[in-house]
Amino acid sequence: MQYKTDQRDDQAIQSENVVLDIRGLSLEYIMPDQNIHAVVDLNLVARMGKITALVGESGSGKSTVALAVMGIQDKNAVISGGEIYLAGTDILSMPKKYLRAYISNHAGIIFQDPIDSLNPLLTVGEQLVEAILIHKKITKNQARTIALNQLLAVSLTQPGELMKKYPFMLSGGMCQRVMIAIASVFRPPLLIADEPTTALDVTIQAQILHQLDSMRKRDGTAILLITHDLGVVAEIADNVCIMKDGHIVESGTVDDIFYSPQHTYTRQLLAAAL
Amino acid sequence: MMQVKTQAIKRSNAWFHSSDGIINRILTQKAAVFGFVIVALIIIIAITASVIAPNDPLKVNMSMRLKGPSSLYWLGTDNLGRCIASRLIWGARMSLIYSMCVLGLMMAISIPIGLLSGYAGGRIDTFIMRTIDIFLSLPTFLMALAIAGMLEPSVKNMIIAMASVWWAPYARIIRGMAMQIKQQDFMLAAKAAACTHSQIIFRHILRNIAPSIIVMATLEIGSIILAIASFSFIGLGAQPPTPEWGVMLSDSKEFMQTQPQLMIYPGVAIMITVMAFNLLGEGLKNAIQN
Amino acid sequence: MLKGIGERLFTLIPVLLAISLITFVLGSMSSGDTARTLAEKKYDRPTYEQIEEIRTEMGFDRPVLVQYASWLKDAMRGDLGFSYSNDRPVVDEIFQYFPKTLQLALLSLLFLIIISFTLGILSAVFSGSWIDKISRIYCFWSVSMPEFWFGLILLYIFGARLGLISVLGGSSTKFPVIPALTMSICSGGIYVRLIRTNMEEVLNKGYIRAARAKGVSEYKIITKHALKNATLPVINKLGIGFGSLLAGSAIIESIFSWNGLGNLALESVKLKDYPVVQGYVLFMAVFMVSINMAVDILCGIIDPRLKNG
Repeated sequence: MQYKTDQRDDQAIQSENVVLDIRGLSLEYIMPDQNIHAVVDLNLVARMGKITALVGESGSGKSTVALAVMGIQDKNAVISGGEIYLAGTDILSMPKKYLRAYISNHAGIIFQDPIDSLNPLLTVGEQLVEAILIHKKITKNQARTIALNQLLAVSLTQPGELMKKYPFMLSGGMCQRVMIAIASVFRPPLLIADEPTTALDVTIQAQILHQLDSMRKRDGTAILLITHDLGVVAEIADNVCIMKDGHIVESGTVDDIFYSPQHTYTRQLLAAAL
Repeated sequence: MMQVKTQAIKRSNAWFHSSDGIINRILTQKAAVFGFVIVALIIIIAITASVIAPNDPLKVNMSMRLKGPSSLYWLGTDNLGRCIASRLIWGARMSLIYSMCVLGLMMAISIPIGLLSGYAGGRIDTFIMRTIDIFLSLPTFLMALAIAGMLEPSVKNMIIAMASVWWAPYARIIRGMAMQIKQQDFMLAAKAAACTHSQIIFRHILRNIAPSIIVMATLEIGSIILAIASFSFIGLGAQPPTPEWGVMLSDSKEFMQTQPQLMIYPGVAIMITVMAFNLLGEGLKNAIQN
Repeated sequence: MLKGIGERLFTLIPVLLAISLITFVLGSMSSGDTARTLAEKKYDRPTYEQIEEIRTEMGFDRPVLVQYASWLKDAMRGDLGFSYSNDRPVVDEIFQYFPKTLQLALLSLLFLIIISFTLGILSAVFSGSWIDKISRIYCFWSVSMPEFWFGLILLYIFGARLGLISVLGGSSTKFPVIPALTMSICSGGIYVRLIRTNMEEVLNKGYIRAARAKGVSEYKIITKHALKNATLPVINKLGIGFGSLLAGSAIIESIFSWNGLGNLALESVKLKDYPVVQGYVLFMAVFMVSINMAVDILCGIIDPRLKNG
């Protein structure tokens, strides 16, 4: 079945396959001198089982979008307009007390610096079990069992030993897998990956991307992949949105973007990369 | 869609949270200026003490003991009939003189040692640093107490005691700065031009670190004044009948229940002076960092 | 890790030697001829021969270094000489009055932790709010405030006006609450600032953001994740601070007539009872240096990065 490539699909909310539907999102950073418009009237759709790449240079606002979707944007960032439909509900209109639970049940995120995303004074096991216990009221031992299995699911060996270790004892790649394990433990429909491989070695990059890809295939997770690296996009993405200065300048399938780029900026990006 | 009202509230909250806000910046500047004004005022009072003090701070007049404020005695008299206002004014002079002495002595010790250690490097540096480390781990108050206590209690000994313990942290900082400057490019140029060692040290290094030293000194004066007052209070520094604020507080302790105001004036004087110097020091520090 | 302890012990020795040397040298430099003072106590108007007799008896005629060596030897055996004022062994005096000073210091530490942690954490979490502003003002004030003056004021309020404590003398209360409050409030500023800075730094870290994304409640974020990371570096400073509280309590003890070691030391200074002052300085210095080392080791144990890395 052919999926529509047009990101501005008005019937998208109703479509079962749409996990994330951002409409007209605008976000500003309140600064002492003047406000910075980080995101302007942004539209983006992420579908089940598809990897949507959000591509742009640093400062384009792409990470800000990710944080806004997860509800963890900076204190001085204010959303000045738009809706974010996560699994059918607009989280921007949701009462605060339900927000965090809803988001963490329906979306997970992994960040650029995997070691910095883990608390250095807690063991890996403690942090994974914590994520599990937030979502299910079970005993610690039951959570431990789930944790062990989850670590295996992200291709980490000797999970029992691993759980007792502290983050500084692990390599970047291992930490990123742990982050993936934490973010996806109850198979959220959406997984956001904010520059997941930028801080890793090239060989490890491929492994992590492969991990994300297999999650998409196995669980039907919608993945929003945020990156500036077109090579990564070419590897695993299905759809691409090009972002510049807070706007989406072009969007389409990977083939569309790579073989028939419309916007000048897109062409510039491609030229620089290839 | 967002309600306009919640939007506005969110905006003001967000702005509040940015700690580098406009309000903060003006405040810090204002505070430093305020500090400067007070410090200048205190210095002027100290210098012109003999002129502006209404009475002789040492003149005892038992018939006028513990009187309230009047046109002759601006703040009243203490338990020996001396004019409180005059003693406070002269106290400013004492505090400044003593603290400058301590500061001067401290710097006289720490600057040469720090410069030498930082510039020379190698074994001299290691030896000096070891010594400094030993001094740093000495409990300062304890040592100053010991020194002042063992010798005859007097202002001179107090100054020596303080300086001989407090020079260490500064020597270390100065050494660090000297080492940093040593690495910089223009130093190589100076060496190439075959400047003598002392030329290098004085002309180049010292000139570069002088502003930082001044800032450190200003920030330190407050603590020194506090320490001087503390030592004088317990009898290890300035001795009665010297009109020093700590001595005045010590005198007032007996009369706490009946004449509490004797306790208030010198304490307020100390607090204002220290606060002013601290504000000034902070302002200077911020100015230099930007 | 054991190697680290060994290294630290090694650097301890020159420090202790330096302290002991300084105190000893000061003692021998002190004004007044010790032999004469002792002689005057023993005889009414000592003759020259009697003074000299005492001088040789006590060994004051030996070269300074020899005197130092023998003093040090005695000190290590626990013999710090005898007080001039009441002939009791100095160590006995020290151990009699030390508990009260320790009590004061511990109570101050408790108050200090309560005050600085509360203000520091709250002002970081609610950055920009009125709590934050108050804590900033407090920090500045506490650094500029003369501790002994604050003590006098509290003595006036709680003693002279409210009659809760005795102004003139005697430690009638079991716990030195007001003196401890004085010391803790006046030293709190530094720690509040430190904790607030650390906490702000930690709250901006990646793992806090990741934990929020996981769905961890804000309360748990602060108590479980941020707190440990923010307060670990403070523990070190607090340990050293405890030493300062211990050593710097003399003036407060004197003001509130709390019969601790600091008070004894000040009295001894006034009475020119040098053995006691010497003993006090040496004892306190050793104690403080030991505390510093113990805190260092403690931090090494708590922080997993230091333990294994």
